[in-house]
Amino acid sequence: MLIPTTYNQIPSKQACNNGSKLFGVTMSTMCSSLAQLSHVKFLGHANYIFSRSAYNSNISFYNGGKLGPDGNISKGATESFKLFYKTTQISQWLNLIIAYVPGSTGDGVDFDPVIEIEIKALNDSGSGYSDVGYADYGIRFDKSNSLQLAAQPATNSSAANFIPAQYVDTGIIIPTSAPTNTTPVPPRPLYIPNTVSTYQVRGELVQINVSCEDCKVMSVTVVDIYQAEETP
Amino acid sequence: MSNSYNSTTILADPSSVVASRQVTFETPERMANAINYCFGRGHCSNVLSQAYGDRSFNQDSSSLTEMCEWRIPLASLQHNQLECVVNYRLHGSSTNCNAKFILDVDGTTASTTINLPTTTNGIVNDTISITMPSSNQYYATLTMEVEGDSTTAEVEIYSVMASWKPLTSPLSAGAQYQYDVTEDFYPMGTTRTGVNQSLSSRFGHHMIDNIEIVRQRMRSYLTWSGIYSASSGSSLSVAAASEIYVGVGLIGLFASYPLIPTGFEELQGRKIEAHIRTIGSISFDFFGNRIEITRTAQTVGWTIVTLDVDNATRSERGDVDAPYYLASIEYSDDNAKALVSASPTADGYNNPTTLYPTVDAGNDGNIIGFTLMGV
Repeated sequence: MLIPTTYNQIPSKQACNNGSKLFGVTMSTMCSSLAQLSHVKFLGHANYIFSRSAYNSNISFYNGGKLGPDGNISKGATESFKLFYKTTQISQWLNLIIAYVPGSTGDGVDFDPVIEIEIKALNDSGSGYSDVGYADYGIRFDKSNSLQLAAQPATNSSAANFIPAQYVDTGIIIPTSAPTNTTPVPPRPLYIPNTVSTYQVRGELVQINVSCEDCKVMSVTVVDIYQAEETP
Repeated sequence: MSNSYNSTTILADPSSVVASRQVTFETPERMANAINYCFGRGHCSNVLSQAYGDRSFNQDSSSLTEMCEWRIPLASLQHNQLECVVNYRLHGSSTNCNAKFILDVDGTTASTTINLPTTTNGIVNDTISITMPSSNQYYATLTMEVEGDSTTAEVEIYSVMASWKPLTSPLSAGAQYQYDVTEDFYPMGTTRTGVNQSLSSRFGHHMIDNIEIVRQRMRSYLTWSGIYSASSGSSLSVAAASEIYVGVGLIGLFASYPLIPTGFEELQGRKIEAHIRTIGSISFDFFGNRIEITRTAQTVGWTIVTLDVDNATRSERGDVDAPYYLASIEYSDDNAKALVSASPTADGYNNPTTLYPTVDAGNDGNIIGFTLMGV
């Protein structure tokens, strides 16, 4: 069946009164409204903005406000983060949109930015979450997959000269089958299996590991991918 | 079982009830299942998400120190357990480092304190249980305090997340409240939709009321808090130079993707709101709206702003295949002047000389917290 994204008009309650002729469209509209709620409105969503140092090394300045990514990233520098995403019971494929800043060419070196993303299943046995295995071995963004190699160096701190972040995303083309890779592959939507080993994954918390080199991640948005057609 | 739900049977096919089709009980049964699922689990994904790099979220004070405050939407007045998850590490070793979360719903508070013992990249979590007030509510305020162990150990936070625990199946019997205590949500007894049960007028009336109520549930799209009182034994160039205020460097990055499908404008009640914590007054541009907050100078508080959405002007970033629209702080000259920058000599630019939590004329007119929520 098709899943409508719209908030359609709900039928009049009088159409359901005793003595009224109940037309199919009354029930049909309710069915569509419910599908929109469960499969559109209540799709999972998380939006991580990364707070970064507000110290501007170009002018040795700090006033509590981020002046702009300055591209001051050492060649070979790495970072890794664990982000947490509460899946829904119908989560299956995730779209990620990532904002990042590559190293600045002002350092006179060539950068080779890489961002890898994998998903781990978590289980809380009562004493805190522990990693119970891979839900998806994940994907890898690099220069062959849209990552920009370098940012323009920041020359001063005025508002007009901050470096806009770059964006990459996994896309929404859903693969025909669940992934079987055991190392990161070129970008595709990430997968949430129903279970990992004996542990339930859908409807539970998962850990999204984000690792990067030669660049800094500035935000990560995670969205359950809307699927226009579902089997009832 | 009555009032139960099962996520595998929540789709009722609209084409199963059109003319010439045989009446079957599975359709109303699935409808009951679906509305119970939506009320019990709808928007129990992240209500708070924020991450931290560059050792900006550090604390070495040996007493609990308030560092962040967020606004989050409630799932309903029945969802009373908020799970908080933290990714962190210690620099140094100690068993005395903690993070405390304080949840406030209209003056009713509950809290949890989580120990932070790990020197490597660790995860901790705990759940806050709160007794919801018996009045209309749709949002909560969550405050985070952190303590290190002086020169022995310093806490570094990497990410913070919170989500409401879903209501388990079956839902409790009787009328329940989402946000309005005069508006009843009726869980649907799924045994009453069996093959030998009549389809009553009550089913239709309650289903319509329930759909209208659950459509009003708020989703959290963007949560950001400045990190104030960060402290480290290292210099500012290395650690604890936290983002306290929204600065020009967040233009474009300070963004999310609210769902605004066709029919959104026709919904009754709340639609999309920004909850903004400021020191004093400020005007800035966000999501195509000029937001003008008026607050007594040198006072701190939250302001709720209802946003208008001009769908046609909103471009999309990335491809999400659903009517999500990019909501962000605009690239505008006015924002360049309103938000924190470093142009002390240029007239009209905002360059604070005081760091919150100190409040004086040196940091009046700044944003220290921001949440975007909508139906």
